[in-house]
Amino acid sequence: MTKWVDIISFNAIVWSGTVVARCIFENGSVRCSGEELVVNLLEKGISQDNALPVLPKDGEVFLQAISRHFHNAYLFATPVQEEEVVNDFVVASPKLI
Amino acid sequence: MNIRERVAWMVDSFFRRDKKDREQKTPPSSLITLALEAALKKEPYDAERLLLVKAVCERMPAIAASLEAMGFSPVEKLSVGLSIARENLELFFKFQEHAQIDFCDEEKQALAFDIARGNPAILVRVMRGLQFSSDAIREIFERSVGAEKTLIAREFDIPTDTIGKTLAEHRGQEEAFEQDGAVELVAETRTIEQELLLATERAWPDRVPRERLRAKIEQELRGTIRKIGSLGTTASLPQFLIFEGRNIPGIYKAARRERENFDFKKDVRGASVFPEWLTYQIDKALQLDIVPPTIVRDGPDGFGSVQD
Repeated sequence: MTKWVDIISFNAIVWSGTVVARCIFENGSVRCSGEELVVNLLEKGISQDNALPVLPKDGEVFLQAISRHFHNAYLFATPVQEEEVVNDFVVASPKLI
Repeated sequence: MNIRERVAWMVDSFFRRDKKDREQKTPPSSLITLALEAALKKEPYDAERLLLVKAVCERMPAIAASLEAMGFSPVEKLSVGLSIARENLELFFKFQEHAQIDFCDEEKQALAFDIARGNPAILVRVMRGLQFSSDAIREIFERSVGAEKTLIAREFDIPTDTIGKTLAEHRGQEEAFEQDGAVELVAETRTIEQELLLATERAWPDRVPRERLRAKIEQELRGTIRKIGSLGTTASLPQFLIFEGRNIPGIYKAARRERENFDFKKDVRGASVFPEWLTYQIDKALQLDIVPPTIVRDGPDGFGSVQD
């Protein structure tokens, strides 16, 4: 079973969502791919209240931290998902009226 | 004893009895049903009712157990849950967890739409709370594209129309505002906006439909103001504006209402107006679509920013 989290950007103008980054837990650490800006930020780690920042090498803890950390209406993360096979990296293109 | 006291008494006595009942293994009292019914009456935005719902929901595990024991069907449980959700989303998630309501993906999506009613922030909270997978999120966005017109023409469920004042009432209370160069400032922003729009259309013809949609929203924000009301006591003292022929209110921050906050220089008027407008222009130019349409206009309290 593979575990992963998607980070989704929400466009309020055209009411559409786009997967901007995907973080997959494999071989004990988390590998992030997607928009360079977001991936770079993730690789620096996620700070936590009263605790040390978590880094991709922390594995599943890092996945859970991503899911908690991104909760804005315009940029949010899915819960940790678990499937046999990770589906394709889908980018939902914004549609216009 | 008024209804609030009565229901509060019922809830209290129920929970006091509940502990004993559990010990004696007797079925739960139907008082909780009465309490829920009274608490979840349909009149919206009744402060007392919200307090009651809160009082009831704080005892969520016991309520869920009671509903189960009273033989509530899943549909009935969902109905109670939905009534709670419309008041307080976090309590609904708590309720869902304790009452063990399982939704299929379609039900989740319908629920998310029903609760969100076009408000992106609430939609995202519902999607996160109900643990939507990436596929379900993608599907909900694809569905919402079809429903876009309805969503964009959404009606805010906040009672702004009832608490706002008409312009005549508002002006009666506020002293007359001196223009102080506001007309020139507003005209200047319009010129910059138009130049930027033309430049954008020349450089990126594919952006034209989206830019027109924005321009339409901006034009609506320049419409005739019907009502005005206060939105809070933060440094910029924001107000909401209700426009003729438009259901969605705009947020208006008048330059002259800004407080002499340590964040603002005392002699700078419009310290929060122009940064907001400029942020929107940058957002437009970079096609980030994060900042809602924002304009600078003359309003009931002088020039200020108006945001969708």
